Order: sequence, then structure tokens, then C-alpha cells
Amino acid sequence: MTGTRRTNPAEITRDSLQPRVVWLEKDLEQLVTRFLRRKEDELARLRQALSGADFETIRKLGHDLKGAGEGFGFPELSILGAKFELAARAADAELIAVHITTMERYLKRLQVRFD
Amino acid sequence: MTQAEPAVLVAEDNEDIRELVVHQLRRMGVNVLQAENGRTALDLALSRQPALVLMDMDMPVMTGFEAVAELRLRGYTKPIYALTGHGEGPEAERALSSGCDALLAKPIRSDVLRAHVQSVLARPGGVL
Repeated sequence: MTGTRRTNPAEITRDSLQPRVVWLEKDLEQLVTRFLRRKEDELARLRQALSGADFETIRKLGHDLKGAGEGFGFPELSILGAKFELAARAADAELIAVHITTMERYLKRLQVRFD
Repeated sequence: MTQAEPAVLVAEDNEDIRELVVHQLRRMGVNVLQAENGRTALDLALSRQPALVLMDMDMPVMTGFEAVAELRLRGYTKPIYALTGHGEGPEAERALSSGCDALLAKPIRSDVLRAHVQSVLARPGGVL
């Protein structure tokens, strides 16, 4: 354990409970709905990979998330993807667990509206 | 504008990114071919001769690097843009040296994609 303070995944702040509303163009609705469904699936894959110390799978999932998130209107997911990729390269299981919690919380808070 | 011939080949194994790029291109009225690995991309580019190839470099079966090098070796002279998370550095240099004409950095911004694609397809022989 290093001396660096890390975010406690169990820590609940006022901001972490607020909905995150994102407005997107109507014609992206089907595309974005599929994208977010796949992110839920990927959360399960990330948890499974972490439990098996499969850092290469986590790195690849993070790399793909980094490349896709912002293009769909979710820059926070691109940032998280980069963090997964870095943590996987360092084989830092503790940090990956924090990022998984962050992603899970983000997806729960997310409210996408189309116009 | 004609939609009789394919205009752009999108070679990308990440389903999210492929779907998004294809959607953006179709909104521009561009015909699109799709491949999810380098081997399929190679076959489609040679048989259908798209005006532009957008190639992810990190794909299964055959990498983008291998596919681009093979395309150039087999006489495909049209533009190939690398889709890469690395806008500079060794991977970017490798993409260019393997035969790509330019790089499109991920996450791909729709305005940047539009500008590049319109520029290429507006050239003589393009379809726009």
C-alpha cells in the first residue's frame, strides 16, 4: 500500500448521487441505446477479468472505451477508459476496482435524453 | 452524387466505433462498406475499390498494419486513413510507414471525420 490517497469506492458524495443528464440528437437514439447496453455487459466482463487477474482483457476493454466514449457524447467514459488502460498496464487491481465502481455509478446516474 | 458505388470502407473491430463512424458517414450520404478485421478489409478493398479506407490498426486475424502494407503491395493507390488512439509516437509512425496517408485520432470527432471524408471524396474520381 502506497502513501497515495485513493478515492474510496464506497464513499458517497452529494455529487455522486445527482443524475447526469446528457442531451443527444434524436437520430442517435438507437445507436446510443445499443452502446450503453454494451457498457453494462462490459462492466460484468471487467469484474470477471479482475477476479481472474486478466489485465490484458481489462487493458483492451479500457482502450476501446477510451476510443468510443467521447464520440457517443460521453467524454467521462473515454477518461475512464484511459484510466482502465493505465491501471491494467500497471496490474493495479485495487485501482481497477475503484474504476469499476466509478463506471457503475456513472452509468446508474446517467440519464440520456434525445431531441 | 451517386450511391451506385461504395465510397468508404470502415475497417474497425470495435463495434461501438464502427457503428458510430458508419452512422456519421451515412448521414453524409456516403455509401459504406464494413469490415471487422484486417483480412476482410483487404479482400473488400481489393474487390470493391472504395474511394477511401478508414483502417483501425489494431485488429484481429490480420492487423491494420499488415492489411495496409498488403494493399499497397497489391496496387491499391487510393487514400487510407489510420484510425488510431495514438496521434503521434511509434504507432503513428508505423501506420504512416506501412502505407497510410494520414491519421484520424480516436475518439473520432464527427466534424473532423466529415471534413476529411468530404475532402477526399470531392477529388476527381470521388463520388461526392
